[in-house]
Amino acid sequence: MKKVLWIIGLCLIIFFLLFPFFQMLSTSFKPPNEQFTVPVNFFPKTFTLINYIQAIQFGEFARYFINSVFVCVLTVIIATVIALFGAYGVTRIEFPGRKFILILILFSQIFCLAAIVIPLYTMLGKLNLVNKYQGLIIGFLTFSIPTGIWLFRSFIVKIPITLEEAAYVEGATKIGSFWKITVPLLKPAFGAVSAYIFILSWQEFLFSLVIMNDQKYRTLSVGIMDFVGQYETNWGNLMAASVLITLPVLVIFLFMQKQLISGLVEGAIKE
Amino acid sequence: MVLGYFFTLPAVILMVLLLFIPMGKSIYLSLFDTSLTNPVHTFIGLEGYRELFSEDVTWLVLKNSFLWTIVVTFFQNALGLMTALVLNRSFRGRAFFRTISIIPWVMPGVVAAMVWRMFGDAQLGFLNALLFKLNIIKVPIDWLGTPGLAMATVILTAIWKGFGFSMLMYLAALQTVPSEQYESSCIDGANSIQMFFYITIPNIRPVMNTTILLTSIFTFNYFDIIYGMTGGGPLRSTQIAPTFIYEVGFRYFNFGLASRYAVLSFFIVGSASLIYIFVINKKEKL
Repeated sequence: MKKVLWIIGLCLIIFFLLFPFFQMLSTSFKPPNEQFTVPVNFFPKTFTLINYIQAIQFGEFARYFINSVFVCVLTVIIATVIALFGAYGVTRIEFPGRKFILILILFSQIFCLAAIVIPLYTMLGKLNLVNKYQGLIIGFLTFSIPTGIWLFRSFIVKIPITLEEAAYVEGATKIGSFWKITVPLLKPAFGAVSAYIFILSWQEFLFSLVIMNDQKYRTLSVGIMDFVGQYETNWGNLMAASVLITLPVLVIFLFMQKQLISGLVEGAIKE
Repeated sequence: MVLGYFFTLPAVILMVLLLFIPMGKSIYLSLFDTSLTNPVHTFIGLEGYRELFSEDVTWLVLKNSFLWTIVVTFFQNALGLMTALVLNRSFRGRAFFRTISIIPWVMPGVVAAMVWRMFGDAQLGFLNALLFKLNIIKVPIDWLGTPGLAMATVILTAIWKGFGFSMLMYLAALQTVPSEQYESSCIDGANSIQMFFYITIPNIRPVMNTTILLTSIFTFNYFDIIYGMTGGGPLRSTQIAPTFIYEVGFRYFNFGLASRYAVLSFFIVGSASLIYIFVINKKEKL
């Protein structure tokens, strides 16, 4: 009896999970003449890639893609480095004010980004960084750095402090032990942190919407709304674009699953 | 140790510059009247807040925000826990199912919004198509165009998108429950339901508390799905705090008013979190 319930549960969850995906994929492979059938067909009668081709060629899609990649990669690089040093400093170095900084960082997670988007926008405007890559990257750092520190921390605390102490006994400096011992052991952490920051940045919407209103610099997450017309929407193209936009983060996630999941879980449980 | 400051300085400086100073500016700006009818920004102090609370729209947005946050958080956690329980047994393909449960979570929010926008479309959506086929409905339901239903639909989308995170947390937590507890209660004659409530839940309580806190904070502030699906409509029935702040600030360009709502949101989330943490700690001391 229990087994039956379990199977029913599993099937319901899978159905709930996959049914919307199913529409996404099915629509993306349907030719235009099948999009508006009455009644709706669940499966395409003819498979076509035309939506994907049209999506890639649509307007500025390719440019949005380049913008997204550029901004996200740079954010990942900058945020990962700063977060690494920040996390190590807060976790393994004793200095006055350390606890305070730690609380500050945890507190940053509560920040409602919509609450600071206006002053941030005016600030960047004054510095002439609106509609520039630097402006958006700076915006992304608001959430990337606290998250990165939090995630790195969960990996650092798992490294036995005895390893570093052994290095001191051998005569190494603090920086030396950090560089030669801790950092190499943090390889999985690098993967998890950069993957997570990339995933967060790739889907970031509000800052991209506000800071990059010039179409030339728009990112994919805002750009997908281009496909939604005021009077009509090419759903086939929209769904194909949706698939294309999801693929990069999906691939990254699949590669980094193990480290990412263990890092996130440890980070949350430790609170 | 100077080294500590050296390591943490970049992070601290950036966060002060990018989070704390803007927050301060928000608070400062919230004390001014910046409506377009007023050419000069005049200082009005807390009068703006008094006006804010006398507006009907404020209470509508707050009501929506609370409804949105509470329902989404509850079901994300419930569904996450249920999925974790289902995935807690070893079976072939378990890793595969775990992975696909998380795919909505890594998907960009706007994309999820687009997918569900089509999914819930009255004419084109598979949701209606399925309900039709099963003879549950005879007339197409406009999921996103009807004021009450729209909120239900965006809530459902958010649950779908986010439950993977809760599932991960609960899955990890379930694996830390000592199996001896189950075994000894089984010997004592406990059934599954009793075991769930008296063994499973107490053991995963700490993780549950943290996950509920994190998901509710994140949900309250979540902008993408509602903006992408309804823009806050129809008739502001899905307008929540973050999307409303955007509307007031970037559609009506009333930065002062938007800042008041921003400060209010921050205050709500901050105090609710502190109260929650306080209550949790109190309970654990007992």
